[in-house]
Amino acid sequence: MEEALIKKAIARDISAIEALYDQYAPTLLSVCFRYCGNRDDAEDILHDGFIKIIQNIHTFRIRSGATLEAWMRRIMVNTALNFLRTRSKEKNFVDINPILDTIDIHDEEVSDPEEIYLQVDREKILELICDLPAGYRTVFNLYVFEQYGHKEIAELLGCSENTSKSQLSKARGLLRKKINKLVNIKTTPAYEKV
Amino acid sequence: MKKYNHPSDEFFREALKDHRMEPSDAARKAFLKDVSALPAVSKKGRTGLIVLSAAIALVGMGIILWFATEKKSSVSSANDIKYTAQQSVRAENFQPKQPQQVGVENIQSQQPPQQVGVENIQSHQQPKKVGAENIQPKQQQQQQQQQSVRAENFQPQRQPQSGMIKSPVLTSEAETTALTAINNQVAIISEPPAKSIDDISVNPSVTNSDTTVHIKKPDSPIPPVSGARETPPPTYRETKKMTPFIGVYYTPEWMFNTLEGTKFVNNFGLEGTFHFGRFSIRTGAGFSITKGTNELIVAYNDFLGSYNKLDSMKFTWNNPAQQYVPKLYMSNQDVWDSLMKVDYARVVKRYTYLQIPMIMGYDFVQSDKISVGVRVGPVLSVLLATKQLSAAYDPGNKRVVSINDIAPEQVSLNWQAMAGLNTSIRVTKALQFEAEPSIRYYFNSVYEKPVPSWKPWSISIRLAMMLYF
Repeated sequence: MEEALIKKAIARDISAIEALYDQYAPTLLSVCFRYCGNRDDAEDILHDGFIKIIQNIHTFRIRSGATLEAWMRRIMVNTALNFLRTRSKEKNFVDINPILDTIDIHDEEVSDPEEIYLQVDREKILELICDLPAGYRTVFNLYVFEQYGHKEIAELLGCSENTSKSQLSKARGLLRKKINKLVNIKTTPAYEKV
Repeated sequence: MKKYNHPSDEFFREALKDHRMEPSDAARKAFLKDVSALPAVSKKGRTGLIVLSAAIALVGMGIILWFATEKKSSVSSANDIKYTAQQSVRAENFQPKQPQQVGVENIQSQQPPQQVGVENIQSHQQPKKVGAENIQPKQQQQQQQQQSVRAENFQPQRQPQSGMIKSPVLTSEAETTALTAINNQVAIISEPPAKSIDDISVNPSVTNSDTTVHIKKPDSPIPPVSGARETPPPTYRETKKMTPFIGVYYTPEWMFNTLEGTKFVNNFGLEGTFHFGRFSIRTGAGFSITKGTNELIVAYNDFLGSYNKLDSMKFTWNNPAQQYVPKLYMSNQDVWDSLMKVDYARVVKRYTYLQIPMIMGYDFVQSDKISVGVRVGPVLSVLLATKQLSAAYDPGNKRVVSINDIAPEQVSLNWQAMAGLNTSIRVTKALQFEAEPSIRYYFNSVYEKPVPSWKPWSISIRLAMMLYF
């Protein structure tokens, strides 16, 4: 089924391309959203990424063992990284927040995540990830969701491995703090009244 | 090393594993509109490749056909006096105008044809001599009307029999047998290859006229030429066990899939090629010169100014003035903004690599004039020198917080695999030109901090002038 769709998409069959879009766009949009943090940019990335996918779909090896979704996801992540890189150049922006550097990265190791995290719904988790500063968010996404190692992340982002480790650690710490805060707010009626 | 997973990582992964967001209708429509307007880029590329391949194939076919035509014409020209005159077979004492000098041993008229050896046949507009001894003068007049010397029935390794004359003098190139026709001092020579003149026997039915000596079958008035040329002479390269060439080359190269887009590379140098029949091996040393851009993002704190800081002061009593005089110890202190800013810097550099190819080849078309074949092999590039062409990034008074390489510097060592289609055209025996369109794949990224997806590939065309020595 998928193979037939790919063959038709290679032949630029618009109905097949539409079917592929409908099937994979929602998942890929979620990926894009995690990287850029807002819906408009995510849709732009999805658009560009999907165009690349269709342009290069003939290079996808059906029997190579990789799934189409994983292949598409990789293209989408690369597109998102390029987007962030371009935007950082355009806006002359570097994602180093001196205030966040003061976060005590050891506090993330104190509490057990299991019980606390389960109290947060996944839309809220996504929102918290998207609220992370761009540098933290990118490293966090690449490490946790794409499961890259620090070496690969450093190569992709053009930074050192230590920077990658530090950014990931800070991202985790910040998320932990926010989740703790969120849970405490929810579980403290007195505070809610205020 | 196994990747460390924090306990929370799994939670985040699981939480967002099947997360989906429906794209808006506007986004969907925009995509479908754009995708339908997409030109068939990949198809275009394929078509381009097909056209290119077809063009190469056509050119190749044309070359082969041209070569084949040339070959035929050269075969047909075997009848030509000029061609035969170029043969290195010489007939000694071949003087048709002087019958008394034509010596045939034991030839008698009306006798069945015997074989007579021809000694050092010399054609090419010079008086020829047939080394046949003891022709009886009475019979010579009768034989003048059908003077023929038979050049067939060569018997390699056979000792001369009675009635045959062994050629006493031979040249090393005397691999041909001859059909020699001398029309007013002309000899036509037909030649089966790889036969020694020692073994050349000439039919004793040799007649001599004032003007012409024909070497022919007794029953055929016209000597068989084409049959004797069935086996073409070995090509220049085939006759050599190893043919070494040395020469210079220039290869413009277009490299793709780099951080900087398409890069142009100049390659040039010296190469040596050794041909072993249809196989060849090529190596040498050359330079590969390319420009690269080292892009940096520099985070810095801006310089605001400086002030004189009072480090200490000392009071000394001034007796005449009856007062303390302060002495201040100051130092200059710079002040930077606490706000972080970013600079984008670009430094252009020229990289010079030493290139060492080790290319194996096989020629599927090979002749004296042209050869077409494939060339495959690795190429090693070693960085020799880096020269900065633009000014280096100067932060001035700014305080640099961090420097990130967007496009890092280039690697010092790289391996490439090359495959190409080589066409060699021999202009003279000692000089040949080569054109070789090829494709290269770089095993490593060209950058110091390689990004996994940035392994370049390139197309190039090698132009070379090679000398045989």
